[in-house]
Amino acid sequence: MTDYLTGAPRGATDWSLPIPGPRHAPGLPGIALPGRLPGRLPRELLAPGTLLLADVEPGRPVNGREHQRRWGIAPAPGIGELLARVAAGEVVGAGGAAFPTDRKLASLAGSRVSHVIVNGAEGETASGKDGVLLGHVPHLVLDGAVTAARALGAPRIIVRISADRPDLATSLPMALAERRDGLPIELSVGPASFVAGEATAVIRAVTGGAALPVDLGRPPSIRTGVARRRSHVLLSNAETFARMALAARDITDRSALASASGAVRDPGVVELPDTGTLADLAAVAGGLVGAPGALITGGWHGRWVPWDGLTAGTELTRDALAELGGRWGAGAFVWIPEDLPTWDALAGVARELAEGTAGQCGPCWRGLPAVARAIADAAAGTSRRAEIEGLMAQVDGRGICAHPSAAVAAVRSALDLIGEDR
Amino acid sequence: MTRNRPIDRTDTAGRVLAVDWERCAGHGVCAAAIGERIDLDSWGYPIGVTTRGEVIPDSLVRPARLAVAMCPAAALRLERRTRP
Repeated sequence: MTDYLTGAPRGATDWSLPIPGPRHAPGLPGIALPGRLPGRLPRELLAPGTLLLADVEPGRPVNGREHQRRWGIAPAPGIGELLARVAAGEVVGAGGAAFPTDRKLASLAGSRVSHVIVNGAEGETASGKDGVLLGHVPHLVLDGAVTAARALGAPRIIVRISADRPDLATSLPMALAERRDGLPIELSVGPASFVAGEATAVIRAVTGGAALPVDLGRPPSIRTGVARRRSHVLLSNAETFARMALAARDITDRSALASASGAVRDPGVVELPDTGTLADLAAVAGGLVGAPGALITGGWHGRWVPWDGLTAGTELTRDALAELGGRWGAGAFVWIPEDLPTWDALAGVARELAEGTAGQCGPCWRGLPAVARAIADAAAGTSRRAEIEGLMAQVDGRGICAHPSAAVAAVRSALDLIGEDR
Repeated sequence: MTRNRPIDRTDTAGRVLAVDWERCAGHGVCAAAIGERIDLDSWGYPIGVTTRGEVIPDSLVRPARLAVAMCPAAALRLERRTRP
């Protein structure tokens, strides 16, 4: 193992910390998913203090005292001031939707907000960033949640994680015990399924329902209290809250937090300055194995792009990815191994997407498995693209959550990449 | 609570037929009631005017109301178009 820039061998102090796992994607057989931080970034690349994970010791959560020494006490701006700072920091939803966080906060200002929910339940098996943040800088995430809760007047905070991260279920209570915010913060553990991390599924689950998505047409609100009045919920991704915590301190962070897996030597979660490129991401993740022909950008709901010079030189920003025809999503990148035929990789991902259905809406739970079977047949040479398209047209846009449409969009991009092979 | 407002039966402008996909079980009654512009997909779920948020033409508003009333799963609603 050598240092990414200097080429020098890595010392014993290097981060090769196994956080739990490794999980394997049923989608791409044999691909270990990032539950850990791979390499230490060379100092030269870092502007000190701007990275969420700067100077973090792998595998050990930063405790409250260390956190305050580094970042200072969390400020308590009013809602107007917080809105201005979050807008200036250009914080957007980091779960995949990239909705501007200041607009989300503004939509709740003046309403009765009963809960602030930190969504750390990563259903996307190609992503590990939220677990890494909660496992290393829990207080940064919690600062963001507390700042938002104070500004909105919300009386309680819930941190939602998935059952496949038992390490967080152990480490987070210790972090919560150190807090002196005067606000109750609860930990909630949900099922480790693909849609259980979807925003409305989390809201439904923490308020007493099943961890399944709710109709997109209904705003995220719940009934609480004796009066049974409707009250609102602020739910954001764990990374969004960490960035909100920095924005509230007037610190501009220009970092990209990405999960790299597939044909890389050292899969894991990597934080880079956003001027870094996809080639830098691959290099920090230990370098590529062989010569992959394709890259999945934005995880299983993302877009497939050819792995070529143009892609390699693309900067790690949402805009640059979009210009390439890719997608940032939650920052999950999977290089398709050279020895895995693209059709087989797609068949695996389609199976993962079909298994990811919540089973609530007919066109999704009946349609996605049919799409997956047609793709498996195509991989075996007994089906054609037209059949797959015909099935996908019956799935697209037909469900209460975004899963069916997002799955279809991802498969379409892969078929476009493959071309008319079959 | 706009959801519970009674339908003004004289107002037919800008209505869409919405399917509650959690409830729809693919009985197919809506396709029988409305006839044209609504089909059933490979699994018996309605596809056509319901899925893309198309405004229902005036001539189909009455059959659409019938479909809403007849749906065994109570999965259909006639809604004012509120979202683009």
